[in-house]
Amino acid sequence: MPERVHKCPNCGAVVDASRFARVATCAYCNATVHLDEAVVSAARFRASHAAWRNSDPPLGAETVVAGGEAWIRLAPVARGEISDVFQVVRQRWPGERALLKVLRNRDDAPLFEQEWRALTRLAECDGPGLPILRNRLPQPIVCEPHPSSGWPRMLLGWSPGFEHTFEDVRGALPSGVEARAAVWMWRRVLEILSAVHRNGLVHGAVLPQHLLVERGEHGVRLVGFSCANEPDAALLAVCLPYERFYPRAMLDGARLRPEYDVAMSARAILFVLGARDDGRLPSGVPAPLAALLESAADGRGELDAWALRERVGAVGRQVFGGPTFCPLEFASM
Amino acid sequence: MGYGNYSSEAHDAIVRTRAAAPGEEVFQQRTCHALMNPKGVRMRESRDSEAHPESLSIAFALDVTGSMGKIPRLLAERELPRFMRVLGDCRVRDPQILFCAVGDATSDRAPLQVGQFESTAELMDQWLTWSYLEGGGGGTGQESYELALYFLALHTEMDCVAKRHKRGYLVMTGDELPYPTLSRHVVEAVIGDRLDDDLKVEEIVAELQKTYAPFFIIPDRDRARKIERRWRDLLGDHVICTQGPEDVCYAAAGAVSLCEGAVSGLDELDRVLRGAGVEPDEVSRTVQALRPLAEARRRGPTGTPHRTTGLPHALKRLFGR
Repeated sequence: MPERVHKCPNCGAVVDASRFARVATCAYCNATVHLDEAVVSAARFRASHAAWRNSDPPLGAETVVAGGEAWIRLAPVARGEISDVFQVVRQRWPGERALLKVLRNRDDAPLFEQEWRALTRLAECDGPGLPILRNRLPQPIVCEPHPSSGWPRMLLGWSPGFEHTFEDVRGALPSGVEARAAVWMWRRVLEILSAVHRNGLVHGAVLPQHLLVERGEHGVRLVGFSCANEPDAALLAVCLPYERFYPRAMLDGARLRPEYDVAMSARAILFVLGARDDGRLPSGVPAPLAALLESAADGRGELDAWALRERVGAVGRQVFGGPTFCPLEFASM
Repeated sequence: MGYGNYSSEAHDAIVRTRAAAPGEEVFQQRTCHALMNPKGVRMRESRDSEAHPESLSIAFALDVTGSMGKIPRLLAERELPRFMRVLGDCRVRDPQILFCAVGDATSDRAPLQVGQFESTAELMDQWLTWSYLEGGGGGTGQESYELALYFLALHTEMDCVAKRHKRGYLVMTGDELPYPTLSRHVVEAVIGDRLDDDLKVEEIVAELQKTYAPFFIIPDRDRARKIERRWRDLLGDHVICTQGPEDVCYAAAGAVSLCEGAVSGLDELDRVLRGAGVEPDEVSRTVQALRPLAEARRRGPTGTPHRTTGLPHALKRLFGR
């Protein structure tokens, strides 16, 4: 194989030349070809890389370094139980949107670390159902201590459209969402729970503030994995203002079970349907759906997430006919 | 290159004849076509002309390894005229298309093939169908995408960049990772350049993004799980995951149109696609695939903040007791 390849400027044929030759003869037209000694310098690429990584942020932008890269910190997007969440964008071009989750209280570090373990485990799973649920679960990028404070923080992938929690939905629609919409919302939640359970985890905190609804679509995202663990592990924390969403057994110290997630999902759906604190539903909710919700919320009946999803679909068809597109709409969306 | 006019009718006529033809008849190369061999190529040019005063360079770098060979076939049998039609309907002016075929330098006979920038249906189709679909790949989970990025960064010259300081577009398809470094020996063997050191893929992307807006399209959600993170580290929001290979051309046309400002957003793109006769399912999948890109562009780096969802909730810790 020739070590250098040149084309004859006279006839276009390939001129074979040995590595250090300065002149070669074209085998086709016999022209004498003076060879270019130019070497492509890797330094050019390295300089471009340095400039790319260290490009200037917009005036006044606040930057953070995470995963060895500079990110511009944008607006806060959420304030959870243990952390603040900001949207960030990678400083170089093309940028990348991501979420930066910053721990607020060092005492909660075990919860933060547990969330990272759960998310990375799910991200690495090839198990059933997970590939198609990529944007329904937080996608871990990096978790590392803050360079000066040492507090852990994590970068998570960003998916557009998931901005409003079930808590926001209830705030915007105090009398509850349409029962027809509750059918797809519950089915989406159960799909996620089914995939999480089949891959060996229990979420442990399926609460309204951990469920995000997709703008203009039939999508739901489950976040807040700080209590997620394997079945039969101990629950790590309880969110006190939402105690009523936990099955009694969990509050009494029972170990994590997938069916508790399912019961909590039913309670979250009752909440967005406008149920009162005493559990009574608005009169517009069809009886079969109400009965299914109430039995699941009480831990009765079908409590396998996927089987219940199928059951919800069947009840939906019985009450409303075939599926129709009815995304949530309220003023702040 | 890049002379001549594009005719949608001519392009439709070319692909119509292939509807029933087997893939081997459309792609007849059984080795790298001599004119697509990148060895010794100094420059591929995309130039303005009287007919195309504002040429816009668009390079397609298609993974032609075993798992990805369907995309070139789809382009040749159906999709390329649709891609051009959508660009036209979005009023993207004077596109000039170059096709590269990407394989694996560690195992393939033709790890890189490069055509020329073209404006006419016949010549675009010619370079596409002269591609040798080797169908190889090394089973390492990596392909030589970085070799194509290197070639485009160093061996293309585009009037949109030189005259108007406007980047061209690179649409690369693939379902594997790039090799972390590009060996200078591979560069010399395949392209003929004498590099004085190996290059990291990040360094190549840094050089490439000066002249191209690069997009990487992963036409398989299952495969995306394994490779998306790495590609996002390199190309950020310019990584697009489609549900299948048949959505690639609309996603590519949509991405270019959005970045060109030829459509104001996904709603307008939706209308254009429907107007072009694209099936509603395909429109919906395309819009879904492009949503992250469109949202990231819409908000800009200092965009509207999302609403803070509320005060923190009191937490009762049950660990460490």
